[in-house]
Amino acid sequence: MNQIVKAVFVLLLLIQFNNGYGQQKVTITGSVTDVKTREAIIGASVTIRGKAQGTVTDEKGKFSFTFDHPLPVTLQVNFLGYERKQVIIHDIEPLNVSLKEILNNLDEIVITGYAQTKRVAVTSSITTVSTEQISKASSTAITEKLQGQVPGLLISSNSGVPGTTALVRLRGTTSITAGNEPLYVVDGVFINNENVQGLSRGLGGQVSNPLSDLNPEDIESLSVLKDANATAVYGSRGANGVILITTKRGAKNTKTKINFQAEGGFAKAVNLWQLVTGPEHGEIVNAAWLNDGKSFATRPFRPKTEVIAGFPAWGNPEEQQTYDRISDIFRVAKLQKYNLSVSGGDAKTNFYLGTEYQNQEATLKIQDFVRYSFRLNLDHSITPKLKVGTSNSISKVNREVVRVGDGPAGLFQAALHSPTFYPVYNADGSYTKSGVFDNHIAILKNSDNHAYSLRSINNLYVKYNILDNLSFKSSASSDYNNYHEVAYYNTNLVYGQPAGEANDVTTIKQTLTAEQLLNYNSSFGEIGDLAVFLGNTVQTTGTERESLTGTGFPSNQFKRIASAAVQTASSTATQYGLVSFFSGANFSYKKRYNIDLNVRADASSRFGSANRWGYFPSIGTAWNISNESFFPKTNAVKDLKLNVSYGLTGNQDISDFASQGLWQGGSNYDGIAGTSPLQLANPDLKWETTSQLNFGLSGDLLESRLSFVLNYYDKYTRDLLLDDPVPTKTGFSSVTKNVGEISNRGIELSLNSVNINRDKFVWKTSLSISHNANKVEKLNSPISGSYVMYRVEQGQPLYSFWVYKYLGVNPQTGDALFEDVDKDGKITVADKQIVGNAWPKFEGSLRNTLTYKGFDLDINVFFKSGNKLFNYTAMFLESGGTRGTTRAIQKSNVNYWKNPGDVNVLPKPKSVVNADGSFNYEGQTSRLVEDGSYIRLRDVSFGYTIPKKILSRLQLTTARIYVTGSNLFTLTKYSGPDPEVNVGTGDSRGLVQGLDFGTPPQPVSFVMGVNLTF
Amino acid sequence: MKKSILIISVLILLFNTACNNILNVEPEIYVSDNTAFTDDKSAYAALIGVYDAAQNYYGPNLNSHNVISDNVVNNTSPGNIIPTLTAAGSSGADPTGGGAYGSMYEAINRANSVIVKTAALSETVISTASKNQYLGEAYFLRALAYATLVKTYGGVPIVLEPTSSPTQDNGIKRSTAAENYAQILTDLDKAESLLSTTIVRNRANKWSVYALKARIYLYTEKWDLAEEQANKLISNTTFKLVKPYSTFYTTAKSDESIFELTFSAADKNPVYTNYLAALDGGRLDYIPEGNFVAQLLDPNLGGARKSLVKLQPDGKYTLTEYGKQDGSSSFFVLRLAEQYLIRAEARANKTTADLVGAVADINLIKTRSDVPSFVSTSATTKQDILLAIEKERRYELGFEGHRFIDIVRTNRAAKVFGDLNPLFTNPQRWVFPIPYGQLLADPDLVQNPGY
Repeated sequence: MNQIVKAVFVLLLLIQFNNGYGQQKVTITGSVTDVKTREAIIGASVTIRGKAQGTVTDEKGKFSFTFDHPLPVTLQVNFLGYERKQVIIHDIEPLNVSLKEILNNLDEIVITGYAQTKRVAVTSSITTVSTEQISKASSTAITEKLQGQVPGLLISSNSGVPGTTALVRLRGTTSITAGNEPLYVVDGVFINNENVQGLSRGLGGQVSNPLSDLNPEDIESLSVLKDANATAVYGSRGANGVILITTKRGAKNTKTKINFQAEGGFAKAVNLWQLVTGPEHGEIVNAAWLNDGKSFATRPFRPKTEVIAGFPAWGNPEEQQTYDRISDIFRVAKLQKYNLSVSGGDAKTNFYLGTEYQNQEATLKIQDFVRYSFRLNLDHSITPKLKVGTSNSISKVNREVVRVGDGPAGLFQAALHSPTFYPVYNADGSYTKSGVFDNHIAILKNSDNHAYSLRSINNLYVKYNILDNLSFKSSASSDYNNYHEVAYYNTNLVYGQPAGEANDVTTIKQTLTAEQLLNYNSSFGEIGDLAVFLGNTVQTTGTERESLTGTGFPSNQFKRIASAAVQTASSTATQYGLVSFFSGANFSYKKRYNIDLNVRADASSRFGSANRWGYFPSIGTAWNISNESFFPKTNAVKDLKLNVSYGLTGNQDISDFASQGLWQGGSNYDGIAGTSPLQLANPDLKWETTSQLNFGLSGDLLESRLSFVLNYYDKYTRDLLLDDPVPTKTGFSSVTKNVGEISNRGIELSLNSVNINRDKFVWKTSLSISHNANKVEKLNSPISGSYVMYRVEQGQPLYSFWVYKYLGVNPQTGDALFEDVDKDGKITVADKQIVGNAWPKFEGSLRNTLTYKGFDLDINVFFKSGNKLFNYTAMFLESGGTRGTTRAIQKSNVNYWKNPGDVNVLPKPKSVVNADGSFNYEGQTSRLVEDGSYIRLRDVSFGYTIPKKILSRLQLTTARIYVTGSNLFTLTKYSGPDPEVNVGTGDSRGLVQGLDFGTPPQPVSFVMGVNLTF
Repeated sequence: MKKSILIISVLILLFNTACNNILNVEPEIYVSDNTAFTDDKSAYAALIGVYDAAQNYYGPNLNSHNVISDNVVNNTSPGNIIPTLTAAGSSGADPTGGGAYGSMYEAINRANSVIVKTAALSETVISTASKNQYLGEAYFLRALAYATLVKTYGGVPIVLEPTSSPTQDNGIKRSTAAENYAQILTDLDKAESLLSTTIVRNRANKWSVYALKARIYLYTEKWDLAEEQANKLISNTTFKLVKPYSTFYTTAKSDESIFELTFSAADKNPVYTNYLAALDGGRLDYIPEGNFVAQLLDPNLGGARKSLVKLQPDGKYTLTEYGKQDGSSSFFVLRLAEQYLIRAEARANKTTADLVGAVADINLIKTRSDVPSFVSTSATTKQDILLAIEKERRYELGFEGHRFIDIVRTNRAAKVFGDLNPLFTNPQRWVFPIPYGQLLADPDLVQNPGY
């Protein structure tokens, strides 16, 4: 630590100020146009090569530039998406520069974390996505829009409810019990992506997505940093990849641009569950009763007149009515969205001001998502050397929520799991409750559960150009998250028994970051370029939570805790700090050989002082083969680059005090405060380290009409931060230790082609596809998730299903057959085996974009193959009458074994044990592990841009109207409503993926919109 | 230039201090285990923590014992009266929930901390009276946890030291049930010598020690000793059989209570949700078994004990014993009625059997619930009386976790449970399996044979 401080000090000493300037003043005027369309290019930068001096073109594409450098000079004209042009100026005369649009940008600037590099010099695996490349579907969070667009970035929504979380994994899962989420950085601010929900009653596995506090419309581009060379500068948080988000900023010297977007549409859930009729229910349950050897006299579905105490009589099967509940809880959901932004700038200041209102209903009744957001980005040059700027976003998200599944008070349990023969209302009009579940209409009419998120992300920077090629930037950032949940359960609801209950929980999470950064760039002409950076960040994150509960209300009219008879409160707080130093250098030699070196040193308060510091170095090299003299100058292969990188990154995402031996309070009895041991000390606890080797090959083929990026990576994680199980005779169940190893190996390909490129008709195709193989290489002992069919085992991937292998039905007896692995004639726990996992073999997307005159069409198909799902809903609802009158039965269950010789049937309804110790409707069985592969028409967008001739009369610059359809069709073998589901987020350790249980499916939606620029 | 260097050096110095502040973060809601146990007050708080652990394990263990018996069934499968136990998975897979193995060791570790660390405190920070009381209560609570473990799984590992390292107990294997009982009695002897006779019905005292000893002697068939201990409680007139029967569970700390774990709206007993219907704010995981309900409702068998069950609109019966909707129902660990039935069984079984005394004890219990007395005739055998005790225990203590162990310890499980689930004809099935996850985490543990 002290050594690093000294090093910084010495470096600062070495810096010499240089103020040499020439005397002669020269003014050059001119214009910049597009070579093809001949239209003016607004905001192109015009600079003297190798100097910081420059200007940008105005709204007419014109510029005027005064400098004091002797002629001749080389002017450099740059505009994003166009080839850079250099013009040598010998005389003072008007200049017309025409730029050519690049189909595949090699000189495009790539943001690599703390530095900016030309694509040609990049040695890392980084995917940059502009907003045109993301999904056109109306999503609340940017992550959902990225699905399938970035090879290696696996994104899967957990539910069809707007504003809920998605599974995001970049190049696999590197940890078992520590965090696996990528690091998100918005305009240089590390933002929180952790669940901030604290409601004690919970929402049944539904988690609000902290990323949906950000308006996707404000985003200019995203960079996904994948290999170790790119992520090592994020050190202890880089192992899961880094997603850098850049928001929109105004351009200098441009006319103020006003952009207005309005969008409205609707969504509908399709392909919902099919349940049995009342008579079918009675018939199956009676069959199970008799097969269990119980007496005919006490069968559940018998005439109501046959009263036997302790054995309720429901009436004969054929007398049963059928009540549909599922259609009661779904609706055609409306969604609307308005975005208004103003951007522009003069010679010194540029700004972007964005504001948004969005209201999305979920197709599941009650739930909705309303966001108001505001953004202000501003940069101002005080002097040519000194610049200040700020990026700010404030958003308010109001959600109405309801517990969905998992638990008797869940809306899904109430509607889907309540038996269909059970009436909704009693004869007196009151709600019928089937003993276990709440009444779905009672929930719909009485649910009162809201969450309010207030999020403010702010960054302020000062940048000083010490020399033309040496700059110092100092910034301060804050991410403030205030999540307020208010719930009231009145006496019509289960949780409101006997006299109402109210909860009020506020969670405040704030991250403060200070960052200092020195950047040095030097060009050695044709020989090459050198870029060096050195920096430091100091970060502290604190979380506080206050929970209030009130029970015993005078009546259902009183809803706030102030009116409750019993009022209880609790408050907690925790925090951690991180101090980091980092440095990197990139040298590019003759545009052929490039080398990158990066290192970061991180100290975290989460570890004991002995292991506080972690060091994360990386190296990357790239070889631009096509720039070699021996390489033929051909348009067939215009550019070819090979890059290799290796490095170390870390993970510190564990609880704030995991290394300490602690006692907790709150272990109370009889109104007296008590204490108890919480966790055992592990002073040796240190970073989890991931090494990653990456090979990349990229190139431009066929006159730049086809470009490709191919990557292979090999990630290996050691010293896993694992909640390692310990013998419970110690009084503890686990201790956080550095044990275990995991590998992720994968291959990623993206292809972009311009199939047709004519003046009026352009057709582009992009394909992205990736494969990841995950394997737990080393583990002391297997670990089970909170759902027992999941197991983490050495030699197997994470998210493996560990169940009894189902071999079908014995046609003679109707009993289920399971594989007897140890051949002892008994089905015991020793016969459970791993039968698959939730990882896809491959996934990706295929996108076609067509434009003809003013029309544009964008078709995005997402596909995923080889992943397994556990149909937990079917475990309950396809259980052959063994759950009696407490659960609904799926229609598929009517096809059960009835007579000897029956094949292709479900087992005989029976709840008692078979001779071999197995059960016909065993819950942990491969029968419920299904293929979750699917191909989905993710979105289709059709738009029309109104011709300029008409627009000019309306004072408009551009106008586009469009219609987008999402999830229009899905091809899958999965028997549930939707293969893109998971409720495993309820599992605190994240060991559960691919679990379908009472999850609202992804809806089919249509939106229409208009986008106007003034 | 020089000035700016000076400013930068000052800034770096400030920065260095700031970094140390950022990295040395202390928890706000936890304390270091080195400072958790220093004086009278902290020792008392740790003792309260042992009661808290008892609250935590008692409910899940009680539910397991209720469901495995023929008194209670899973609401989802009321026809499956004696479910088949399986070791697969940690919880959820087993129809009974697995018996709360780990939670009981949490209580034991907390008790071990109190026992070892309180003893080590110097007299300058704690009075002898406080020390004796805390130690006595901790010994009793440790004995109760081991007694609950051994009745569930058979012999279990004996750990008597507080845990300071995850590997500290490596090598401690399962003891036999007899060794466990010996350890329990050692703890109870110590508790008896340390505790006072002041009756506090939700805290350990001499009376709760006597009552647990009586039960342990009954289980280990030390008939005379069982009777002797039961006599101590029966002869203390502060303990009474309350009337009506329901009083002991509708009132906290009733006159019948010897030791109960109490709860309140702020410290809820979550078990009410297991037994109440949605209508009453529960999730109805478990219901009283149909045939047993019929017997409870029978005025000649259950009598006043019919109050234990309540008819629902759909024809089902639910349990009322733990049914306070604000979560304030107690767990009735030791109460006087059990002591009468212990004495009855001890009297009938002892070398010089006292069958008359045994019948008198049974009839006190029956009379309290307005059920006709057991009438002995010349043809009445000891076996008849033992069967009458078995039946009476079933009605009287039906939902308090006694039924399974009563049938097992009297070697009647092959008949009583075997008739309902043929697997129970095999005595290997008369204990719970050690939950599978525990076996994975502890290489010293060996599964009960037959699972």
